[in-house]
Amino acid sequence: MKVYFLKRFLELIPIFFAISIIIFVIMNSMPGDPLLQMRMQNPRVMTNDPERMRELREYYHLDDPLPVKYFTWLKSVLTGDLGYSSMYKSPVIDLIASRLPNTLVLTITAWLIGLIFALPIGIISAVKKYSAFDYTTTVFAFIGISLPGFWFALIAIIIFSVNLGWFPVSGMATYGIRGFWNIFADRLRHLVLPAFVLGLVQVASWVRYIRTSLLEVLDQDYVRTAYAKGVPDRKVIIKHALKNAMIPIITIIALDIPYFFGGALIIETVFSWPGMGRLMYNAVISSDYNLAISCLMFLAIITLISNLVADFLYVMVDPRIRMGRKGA
Amino acid sequence: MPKFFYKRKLDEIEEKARPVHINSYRQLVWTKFKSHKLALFGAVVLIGVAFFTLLGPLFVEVGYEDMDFSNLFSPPLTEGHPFGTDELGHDVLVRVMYGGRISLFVGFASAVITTLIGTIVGLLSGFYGGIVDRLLMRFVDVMLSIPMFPILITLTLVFGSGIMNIILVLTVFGWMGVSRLVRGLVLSIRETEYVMSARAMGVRNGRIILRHVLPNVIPIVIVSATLNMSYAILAESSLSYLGLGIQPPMPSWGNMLQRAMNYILGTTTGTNPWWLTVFPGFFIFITVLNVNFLGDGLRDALDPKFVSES
Amino acid sequence: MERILEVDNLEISFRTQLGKITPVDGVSFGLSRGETLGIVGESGCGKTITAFSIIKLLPKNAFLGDNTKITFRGRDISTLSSEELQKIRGKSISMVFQEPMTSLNPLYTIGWQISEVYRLHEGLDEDAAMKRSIEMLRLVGIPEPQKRVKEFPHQLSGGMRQRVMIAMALACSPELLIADEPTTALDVTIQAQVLELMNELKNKFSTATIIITHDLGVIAEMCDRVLVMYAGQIVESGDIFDIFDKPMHPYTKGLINSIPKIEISKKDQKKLSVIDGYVPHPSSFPDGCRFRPRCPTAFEKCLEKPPMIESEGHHSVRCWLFEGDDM
Repeated sequence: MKVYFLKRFLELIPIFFAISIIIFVIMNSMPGDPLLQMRMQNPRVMTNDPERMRELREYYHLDDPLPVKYFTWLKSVLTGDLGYSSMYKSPVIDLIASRLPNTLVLTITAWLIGLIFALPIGIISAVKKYSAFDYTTTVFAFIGISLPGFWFALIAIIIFSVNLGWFPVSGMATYGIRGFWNIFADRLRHLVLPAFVLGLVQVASWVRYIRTSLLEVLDQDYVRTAYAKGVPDRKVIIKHALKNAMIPIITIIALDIPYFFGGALIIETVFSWPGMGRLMYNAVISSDYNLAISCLMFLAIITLISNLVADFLYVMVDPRIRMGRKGA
Repeated sequence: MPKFFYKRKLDEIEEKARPVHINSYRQLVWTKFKSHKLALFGAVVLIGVAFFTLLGPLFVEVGYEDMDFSNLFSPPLTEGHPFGTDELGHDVLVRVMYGGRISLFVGFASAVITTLIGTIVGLLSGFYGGIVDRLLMRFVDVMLSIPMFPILITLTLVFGSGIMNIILVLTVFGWMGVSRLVRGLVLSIRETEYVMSARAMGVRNGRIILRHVLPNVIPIVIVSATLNMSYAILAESSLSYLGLGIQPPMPSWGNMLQRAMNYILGTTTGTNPWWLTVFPGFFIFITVLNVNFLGDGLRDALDPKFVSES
Repeated sequence: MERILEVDNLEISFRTQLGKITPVDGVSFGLSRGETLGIVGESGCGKTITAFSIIKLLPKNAFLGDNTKITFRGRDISTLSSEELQKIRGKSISMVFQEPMTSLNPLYTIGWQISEVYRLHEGLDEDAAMKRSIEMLRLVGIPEPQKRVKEFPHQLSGGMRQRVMIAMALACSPELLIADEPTTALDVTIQAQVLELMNELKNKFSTATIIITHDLGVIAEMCDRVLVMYAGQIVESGDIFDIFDKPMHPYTKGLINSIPKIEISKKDQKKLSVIDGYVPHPSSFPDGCRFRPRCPTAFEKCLEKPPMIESEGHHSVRCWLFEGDDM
């Protein structure tokens, strides 16, 4: 098993480099001269002297050929230097460190909310196939996957924040609140709406997926064997069917983790949540080259880690792979 | 005792013979599709939406850029403006029709192209296997690991946000799912006896792919094409929400919605122009919903596995 | 002998998108203690769902006819609650399925899967149940059972897995064993071993057995009595010698003639005789005799539904050719 993971991990390394090249090339084709950006933002660099401009371009390696630029960048990244954000005037690593926890709180809560809703709903609608419950969830699932996430977010704001006034319209915290529990409650109130919106958007497709997976397993011969043995219905579903259905389900649930970070980009924008998503969006929009590329790479790494996690969970459940033999 | 001692012969006979009521696969598909009420409903609604957006503009004289300054923020059913007008006096009905053309075109075109690319990659990868498969699938892994939405944003900034560029961006990062699906299916088809026997008879690879593999892949490809279409329409609207989709004054459902968002909490004059949000939102919702219904119905109808289910 | 199973006028229908279909219609038979009954027919003739209906293992869209009565040891199966049914399944009536490769749960050890039967039906704790499972595995001829119980299905060969399935089915010494094509998925040499094992064990436990197969060789090896099914109906029934020595129905004759004989001399290498055509789909059974379109001896009368005609002894046949042969 250790060998298997070592192999899977080593496989990720070339993928990581391939991703970094693609992201690097795309980011380098972004419009906007970084130097002009800097000049606009920092009057001290304001100069029209061609000689001084040339020096600056050289200093920032702006005219190097792309491969050279890539390796210069790679070298500094691998030594832990992510560069300096031209927009926020601070090291990229500090920016990410300050925003990352906010995004993690949002995405993890949303992920859990999605899970808590999707699992029981999906299971029940598979077990009670073609029942009123199944039809109802099917209709809601269809509605769920047919709505743009931002639209759903805005409707939620209008209903729960503007009309009902239960939750704040935006932001992550109210200034001037003191005391641990007060701060905690305040944070929670801010978190509820964006986390629910982000989580529930995913529920629709998960419910469909869980339903399909479980139905497929319920069709298997070994489930029939369990019934023929006289195993009670509930036990057949939980012990025999669900455990098998969990293999594809946990895989997809782990693989969808990156989508939460992607979805967070929109949700953070709608709710003005100070997280990575907004940071990245602002970076891309304003050609803050170092910041944007670091954020993208960071998300790519999260994707790769989720793949590894999905693999790990998969192997934990399935003895066929646990024992070093793929398939059956 | 040999296995299936008379079954062997029977299979041969069965291949030629056809059950009496179910005359052909195509007829079976149609029977099942007809009995799938939601799918039928979806197809009818989509045809309706298509007619509305394609033919609708022929019956009105106002263009999508024409402004009626005497009517800003007019509510629906104002004379001459059944869906009302926006902040510049654009007629919302007209813009919904023209916007629909663009949204549907973006959705349809990117669905067709992503499905095409995905199918080709999946066919090659699954059929040839070996090094081809490994290289292509690693490439798919790489593409899938790139955070999609931020890259879409970046690419629209790089290429600009014209219709063609939006389609390009959505297709470049949209084909991987289909290719994985097709590859998986081809892998199992490749091992079937009819492909084996075609190979044994020396049929060329290209012919095997076209004659034996492709027809079996088509059902799943059609279904995923519908899913891609609904995804593309939603993605365009999300890009538009961030101001990166189709650019005004050219309307799309996404960018109409985005501009309406500015007034969602009411305008400075105190009115709340809900119609600006409701109409394009409704059309996005209805279109995507029915594309999904259609996809679901096609999935059930095209899959021979579900014959005996009610 | 004590009658333990009585199936009377079995009719099984399905609600499908193509409307209601009735793949099994008017099937009646009974079974005594220790007796072995074979049900033979081509794929799609309804023999498997006939067997499944005895312990109500049918899909959700299936339903039984109004006049159908299945009585197991004096109790009407259709009136049992699902709890009562669970007590019978695996304990009094158990099943062996066609596909040993997929009939075992891949995520549990085989020991766990066998001992589940003991835990359910005999209330044993885990250790005791595992001990009994090891005994049972030894009984079905699995070497080193103490080691094997800890293994997962994918670590066993097809024949071994079918032995595990048999061990599981016989764990609580059931009164009725239903084996659905128990050897079809196995290699020829393994088939013989498994058949021998089943023969031995069913005698040992004096289990009444129903064997469903399309393989007349299996029937010849195992059965006392035979039902020949075609298109959802019994077309001929009788004891094993009646069926093999004096087949009456043209379909039975066709089945027997299509068995390849092991012959070496050139002149005997004639073409295998086959039954032309195919089993009709349940949505389109022909009127009158259902075998008529494929029957070499069909005549006008066959447009009417043939009744079951009793011949000598318990040998009966559903064919107009034997009308008036009643004794």
